[in-house]
Amino acid sequence: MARYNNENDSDKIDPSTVASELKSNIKQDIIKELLHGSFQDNKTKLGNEALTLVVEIAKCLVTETCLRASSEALRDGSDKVDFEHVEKCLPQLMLDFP
Amino acid sequence: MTLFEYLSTSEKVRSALHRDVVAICTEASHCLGLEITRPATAIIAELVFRKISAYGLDLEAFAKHAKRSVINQDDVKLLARRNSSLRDRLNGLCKNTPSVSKDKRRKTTVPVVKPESTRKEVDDENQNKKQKVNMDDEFNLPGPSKVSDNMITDDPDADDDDIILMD
Repeated sequence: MARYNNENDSDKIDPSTVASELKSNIKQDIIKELLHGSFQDNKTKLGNEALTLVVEIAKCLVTETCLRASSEALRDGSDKVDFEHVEKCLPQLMLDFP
Repeated sequence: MTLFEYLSTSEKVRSALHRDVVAICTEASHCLGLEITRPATAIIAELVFRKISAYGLDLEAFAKHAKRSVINQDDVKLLARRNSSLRDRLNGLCKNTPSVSKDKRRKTTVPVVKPESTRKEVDDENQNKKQKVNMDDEFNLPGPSKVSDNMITDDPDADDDDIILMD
């Protein structure tokens, strides 16, 4: 996240303001189903506050990927964010989100 | 709508997730005046799907390590331990919702009794824990003699006070 801020001061992209302005969310039921599908033990349950936090992580992941890909597209000079721009961000993204 | 019903659970989750991801991505890229293409959103949705599935395994392992079967906020915060800004963001979110757990604890408050009988109450509690058979008798408190049999107290004058015991 620190590296991202250093590189993009000239582009003036502030991820936190963009993320706070976003009105659409990922629905809690979707994340709940997804997590329950990956549990190996049937007895494992998920707390409500924990679910809220995971939804927040998922939203951060999407926002961060999108903004990094968008800045790549701006650097390229194109007006559409394409698959290649997302690909370029993947290695650093995988290191940032454990 | 009938086509959606024919999908398996994981396909339903994937398509619902894709729809939400497309909404977030188009909004974020519009903030910068760009458009995002379909393959790009598809790859982001797939990324989120796989990441959250992997997180599910991790969260389950963390909870199991703590010998719990319910996943906590602490388990989720452990996921973000390597990323300082993500960790700070989650901590900021947590501060808004601690009041729920505190309210649940307030149901078991101890009623306040007179100061002379507080010592008796403490001794009584200890006796309750050790001798569960005598609990019914102590609640009914037929007379001072029975009370003094079970308890060690220096204050015989406090026998007439009713001892209010917690469950």
